[in-house]
Amino acid sequence: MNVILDQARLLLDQGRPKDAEIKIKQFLQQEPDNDYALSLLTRCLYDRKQFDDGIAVIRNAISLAPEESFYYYLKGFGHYQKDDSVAAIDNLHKAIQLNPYHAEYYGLLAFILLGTKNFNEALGKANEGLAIEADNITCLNARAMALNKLKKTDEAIATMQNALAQDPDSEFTHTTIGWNLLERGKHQEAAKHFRESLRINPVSQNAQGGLKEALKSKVPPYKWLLQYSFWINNKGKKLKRAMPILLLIVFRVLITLFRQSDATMGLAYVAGGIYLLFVIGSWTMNSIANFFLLFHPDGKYALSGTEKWSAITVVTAMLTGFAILSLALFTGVGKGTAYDEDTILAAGLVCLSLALPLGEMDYPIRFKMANKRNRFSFLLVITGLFSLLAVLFFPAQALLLVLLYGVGFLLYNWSGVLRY
Amino acid sequence: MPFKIYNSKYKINGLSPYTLLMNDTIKNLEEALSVSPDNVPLRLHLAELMLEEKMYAEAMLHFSAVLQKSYGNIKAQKGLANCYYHTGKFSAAIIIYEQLQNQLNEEDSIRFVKCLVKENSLQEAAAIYQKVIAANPSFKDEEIDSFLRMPSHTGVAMPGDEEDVDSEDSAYFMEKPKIKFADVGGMQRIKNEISLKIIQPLKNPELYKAFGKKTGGGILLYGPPGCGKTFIAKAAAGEIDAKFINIGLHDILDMWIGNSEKNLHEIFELARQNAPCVLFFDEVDAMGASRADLKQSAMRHVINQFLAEMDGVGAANEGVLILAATNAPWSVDAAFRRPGRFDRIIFVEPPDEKGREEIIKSVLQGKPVGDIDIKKIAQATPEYSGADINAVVDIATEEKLQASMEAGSIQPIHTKDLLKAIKQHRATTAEWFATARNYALYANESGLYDDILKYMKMKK
Repeated sequence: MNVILDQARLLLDQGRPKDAEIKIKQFLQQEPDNDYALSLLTRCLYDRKQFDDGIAVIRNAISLAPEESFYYYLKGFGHYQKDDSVAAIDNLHKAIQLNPYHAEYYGLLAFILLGTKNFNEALGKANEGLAIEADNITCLNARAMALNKLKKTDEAIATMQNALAQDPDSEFTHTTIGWNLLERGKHQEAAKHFRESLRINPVSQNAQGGLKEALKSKVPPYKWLLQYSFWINNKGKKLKRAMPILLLIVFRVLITLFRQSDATMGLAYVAGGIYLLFVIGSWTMNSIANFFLLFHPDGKYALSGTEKWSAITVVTAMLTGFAILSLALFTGVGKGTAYDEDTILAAGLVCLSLALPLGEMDYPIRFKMANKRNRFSFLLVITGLFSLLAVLFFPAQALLLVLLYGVGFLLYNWSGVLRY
Repeated sequence: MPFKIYNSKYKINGLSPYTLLMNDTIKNLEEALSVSPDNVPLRLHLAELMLEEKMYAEAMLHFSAVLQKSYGNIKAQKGLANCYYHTGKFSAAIIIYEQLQNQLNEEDSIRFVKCLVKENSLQEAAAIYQKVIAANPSFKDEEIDSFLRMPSHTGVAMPGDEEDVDSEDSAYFMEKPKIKFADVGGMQRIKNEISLKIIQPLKNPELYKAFGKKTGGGILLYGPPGCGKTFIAKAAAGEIDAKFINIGLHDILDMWIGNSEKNLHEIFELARQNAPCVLFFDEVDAMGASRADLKQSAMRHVINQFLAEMDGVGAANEGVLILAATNAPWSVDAAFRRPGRFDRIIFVEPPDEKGREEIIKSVLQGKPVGDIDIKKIAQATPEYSGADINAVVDIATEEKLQASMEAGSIQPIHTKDLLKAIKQHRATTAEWFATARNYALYANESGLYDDILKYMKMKK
């Protein structure tokens, strides 16, 4: 083996992909057709998250050595990282055809299948991999995840314990266990495993995200919402898209039914209230939970700048909104002045509803760089703020602007729902 | 019969039973030989036994006799040469060994080398010794090593070897820095630490002895790239007027692959011979691989060798100051941090506002500048490293060069040019801090990263 390539591999193993890349390119100048060097270069590029470039390079390696199964695995891995599951599965199948005795191939294939919600198939592939190598960490993790998704809890726990026994210092396993526990609603235990995973590899984004979710689950409504989102994600994309419309129809029907008789009239309001709470909650609960996280010793550092600011703005808007609403409803402070009850009520509603676009915006606000959705949110917030100002200074004419905002808000809402 | 003697507990005249047995055997063989004086194998056997018993004069006679009967007998030749070597007739031994050169085994080769050394033919000796080492890299012989392995050794004159000395030195770049601590802006805390740990012991050895404080060990500097870790190490060497050996990433890498232990030993030896000397390992994390890789035993070797050298197991590190720098302290093997090794771990932070002012001043020196509000620029560059400020000035300079070419006259650099350049070049330390922050938050069991938390104003 060439010394330069040995050194490159060493650098790669030490997490210095940039230095490794320099070495490999130096080697490739002498031997541009060395497929092993190309595969190393691909790994460097993957480490630096340049998946497109990596796939292009490994394609060259495959054309030089089409019999090497590992190169297909690498190519499949790149596609998997880019969420191109069809190409990823295709490449993994080729790798397995060329070398059916490599457990790692089955493990990755199982993970890809987990991503496409084919839990049974994923479980099958993970088991095939484990038949070859009984202590393969990737396969054990994939198996644990598949079992958890299939609600075979006991088996999942046994598999996770097995994986931990094989390698108690595997950040991967701890993260998997964390997510599995979180999905079953055990957020405290999940947080422990995420922390352990982060102790082993503090830069793991997956574990950081998990820890954040686990900490936020301390707020009960957020926990319910998280359970709901796990459930809907497992059901597949179609239902996820149709769900808001389905819910709307169900509640509409319920409310109309309840309204039929005076005895159930009250239930109609309850149903309407639940629906509204659900809708508002689904938009703002993340920010509210983030707001609580701001006061948590670990949590405050786990939040990104955007999350922090959207938490603060959303909670501020909601609190102000509620304050204004209660002012209008319970004190009747504006009676006799230009600020009658309706105007104040409208202002409160505007304030409250601002929480939605505020929660969706990216911070710090950069209008030029933002995408369409972000611009829409920004425009809506501006309109809302203007209508609030108008209420304050020209209460008589303000309702027109409020109406405009209301239309915009509805548009925003439904375009947001249909986006998913 | 021999059995009995071998097992017996008594000794006669202080001789061990084994010697007694040998003497008996030799006597018997001599008797046998007197009966059949033409028996070559018998005589050879006798001669070899005599050689083992250090009866060199008698052995020599018998070997010569064998050679008269069967000319060119290799065993006899080797035996004869061995006798010559032990009786101090080196030149005679060399003649025989030269004839046999390609048929020598390791032991004979070593004797050959020693003869050559004694006869002062060092170049030839080195050539043969290299062959021995190539066949057996772990071979060591102190007597020869003292002459051959360290060509920079000053005690022995080596005619015609000057070239080798140079190449040996240039492999690990040695210099004598002129910069001193005074030339390094800011970093007072780091200067104090280095001074207390490795400079004062050299200046006031008695004081340290009085307090029973052991000198030695090293300092590990860590921090974002481009903040002057190498610079301060050089200044430490300049401060005590010492030599400075810089071992970079690629030197360390070469150690992994190839004669790692030997190379590492060589470096430390070189430093010891050139004491006082600052031995600086840049990117030392390349030596300690991450936890996951530790299973690979090849990596452990180098780490262990490094630790042994640092501990001064083979030779004392008197007057050798060991500094190391890394921007990935989390990858540095935990064994490095034990007392007596890198027991001081110092965070080299990006320069503060005052430090930045000094850096900006020095970078702008000799450039055509207009009125520049250095304070304002320093305020606009929080968390910028020295290298970043260099880059900012460079961008501004390029801009002005172009403007000067267009205008046909020199356009000086103004504050606003620099501020514009600052917008183009963001602080490169940000990326480092993003990673360091995670380690400080989640893997700070031993309080190693407290300095980072303090710098980032985070409380845990």
